[in-house]
Amino acid sequence: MFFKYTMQRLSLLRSIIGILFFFSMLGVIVGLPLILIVLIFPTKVPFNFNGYLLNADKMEIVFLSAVIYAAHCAFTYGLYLLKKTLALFSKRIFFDQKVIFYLGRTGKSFLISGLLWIVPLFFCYLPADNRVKTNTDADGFAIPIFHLAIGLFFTVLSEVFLMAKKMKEENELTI
Amino acid sequence: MLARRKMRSNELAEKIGITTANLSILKTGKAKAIRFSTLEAICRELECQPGDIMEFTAGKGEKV
Repeated sequence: MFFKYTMQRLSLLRSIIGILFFFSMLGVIVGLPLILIVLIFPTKVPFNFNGYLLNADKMEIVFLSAVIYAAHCAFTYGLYLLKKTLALFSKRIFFDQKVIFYLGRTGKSFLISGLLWIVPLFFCYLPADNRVKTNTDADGFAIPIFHLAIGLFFTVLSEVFLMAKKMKEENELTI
Repeated sequence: MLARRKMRSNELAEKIGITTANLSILKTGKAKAIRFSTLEAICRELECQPGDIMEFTAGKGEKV
């Protein structure tokens, strides 16, 4: 009975992650042409970042967009690996080297995503008066801190699964 | 010890209540640990001491 409900929740989680991955992939597909369009445009482009309209030079905007795009790609890759992990879970494969590897990679991807999100917030935050400022708003840091926390959680989870795998092997080889 | 007692592996496995596969794991040294109950059963059936069926071998680069 317990396992039945676990599997139901797992299939629900797989659906949610699948939908999230689909929309995230849309961002990956659409994002690259957008950066190219910004490169092609000759003059300043209005750029909205975290609700702030920035008036920066073209190359700064391209740099910001590229960093945000890279962060989004890392996040999408993390979601892809998470999807693969959940597929293994649904096959009732839990304490496997593949699961440990995917969880570790997922964590690293989310960590990279979080760190990349911090770059535009810290160094390239260009408000309307065109001066470089740091942003310490809770809103601004919510996404990267969340990504960093989730990334760390997955790396820890990977290590916990590695310990569990060793314990399972030891248990199986105790006669 | 099995040869001395003129006993076959499957016979011992049956007497001590483990599978032949598990007994094979024990014989080949692949087992990570052995339960006291299993050791006790083996010693009882083979009429021997734990030291008669186990020996310590130092690993590579390990000083004794």
